[in-house]
Amino acid sequence: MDGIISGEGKGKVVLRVTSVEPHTAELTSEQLRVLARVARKYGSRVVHTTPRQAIEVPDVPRELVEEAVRELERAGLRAGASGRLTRNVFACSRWCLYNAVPVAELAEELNRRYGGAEMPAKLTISLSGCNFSCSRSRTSDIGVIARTKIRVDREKCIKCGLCVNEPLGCQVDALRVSKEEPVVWNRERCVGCGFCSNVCPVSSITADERGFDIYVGGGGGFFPREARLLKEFVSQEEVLEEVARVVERYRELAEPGERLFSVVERVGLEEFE
Amino acid sequence: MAEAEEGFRFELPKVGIIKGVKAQDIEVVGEKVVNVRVRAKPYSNMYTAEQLERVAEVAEKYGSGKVHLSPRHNLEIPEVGSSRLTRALQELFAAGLQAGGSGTSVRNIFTCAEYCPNRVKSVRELGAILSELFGDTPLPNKFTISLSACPAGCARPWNVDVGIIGVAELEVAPERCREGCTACVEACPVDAISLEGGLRIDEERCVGCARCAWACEQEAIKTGKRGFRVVIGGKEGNTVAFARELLGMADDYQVIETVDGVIRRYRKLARKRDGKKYERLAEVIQRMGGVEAFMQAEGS
Repeated sequence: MDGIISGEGKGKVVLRVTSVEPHTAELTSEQLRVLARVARKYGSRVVHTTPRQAIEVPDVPRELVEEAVRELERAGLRAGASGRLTRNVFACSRWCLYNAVPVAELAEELNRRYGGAEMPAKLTISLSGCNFSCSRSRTSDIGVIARTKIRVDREKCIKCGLCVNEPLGCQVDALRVSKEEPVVWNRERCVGCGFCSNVCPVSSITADERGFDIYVGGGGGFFPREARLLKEFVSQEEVLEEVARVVERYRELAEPGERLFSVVERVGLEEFE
Repeated sequence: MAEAEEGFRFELPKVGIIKGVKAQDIEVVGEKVVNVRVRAKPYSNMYTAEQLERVAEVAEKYGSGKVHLSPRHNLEIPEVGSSRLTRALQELFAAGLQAGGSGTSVRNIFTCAEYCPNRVKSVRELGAILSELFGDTPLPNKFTISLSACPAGCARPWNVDVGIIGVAELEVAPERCREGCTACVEACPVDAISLEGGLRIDEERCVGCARCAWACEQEAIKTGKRGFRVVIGGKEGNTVAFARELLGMADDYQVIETVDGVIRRYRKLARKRDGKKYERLAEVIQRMGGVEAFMQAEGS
């Protein structure tokens, strides 16, 4: 059964749980309560959090798994994301100020389409709302990174400094503001994370266009490697189309058990496309 | 340091309170909202049922009833109204949950699951000790430490400032190998074993995960010494750097000593980029020409 992984102790397993409804990148307070109840009732009163937004409930007796899973499912949770299946699609926080485009909803859509889908080997999809990639989009099988093209209107700047103040201000020193001089933007350095446009109170800095970069073939763990850029600055609809195409090609080209990075390296990025 | 005016004696944390975007489905009118990033303290990579319930309660009472899961064991409670922040933090504190793990400091230490059958060397205790010693230490830029109990690296040790990986040495007795059995070859995730002309492990490829030894019923491969591999200078952000090996096989004491040394050196050697921000460890190491040069540098 998917999402049931072996743990310690005879006859005991670990449930790997992710959220399906209402959201996939966050849990509701009610879901937390259900997880607490399930851990108390069927496990050993504790849960572990994974780097891919799953919560694991260890020490569940095998014979109680079905009952526990039913209880989870009633709360929009499911056991899943193990084996040769698409892992939970990871999305960073929709509340972060570093957001070119919040990606939680896109993750929900991708989870609906691919969450738990059978693949030649495990497949990780990670979405980042900005170029700083807390979701590790550049070391996942498929990574999506949102970017903005910003526009700066110096006339409107009130020299408040919100876009540069520590600790949150521009991380790449692409902006300069002082009490004497309105904002100066260094286009070369800007990575399009959208932070400044999100905090600017007077629309002196605005995000003119927003788009997504798509990366493929990254990896961590046994096989650390950096993903390659597949598409640059495409729309949200195009992300869905491109991911569908990558998944299709992966299924066509992969040997059983072969990870996406290996396919891309074996056939080359151009041929893969 | 600001002390709370209500509730019990309580020092407001310096990190873990993050300015956030106000989503539309919350009614905190005319008030600033923040995201509260919490983790268990004393260190744990597990949350108890009671802690989950407390987070649920605080998210409902002071936030929007939602909780975001970070990749570093943090639970983030978004949209907490700032006028009720102290009370929210105190209620979390009472359940063994503290805000932290943001800004230019040592972030929450990630350790993989203790119950995983693939673990070569347990990392939770070591993670707790590193957290005790270095957790939240202010540094020139953010600093991440992750521990993986085996080379499968679910903790992503290659893309953090300090990665610690549980590894085993393998003892090979080719004469015990049973002809026709390929269990070790099938178990090896990195194709390091060949059986043609006798059992052989390619040491260049072997990552020390010990899965071959567990698969071998003949004891032709056995695990020898177990310890930790320490890699430093990885990151993932707007650029990616993969960590480089500093120690191939270390015990817990050596790991702690080494992490301490790396942090001291980093604090001393990090320079400002040409603007306001300081370099990450990866940049310092790159500028100095590698891990060895970094570790030999004067003045730490």
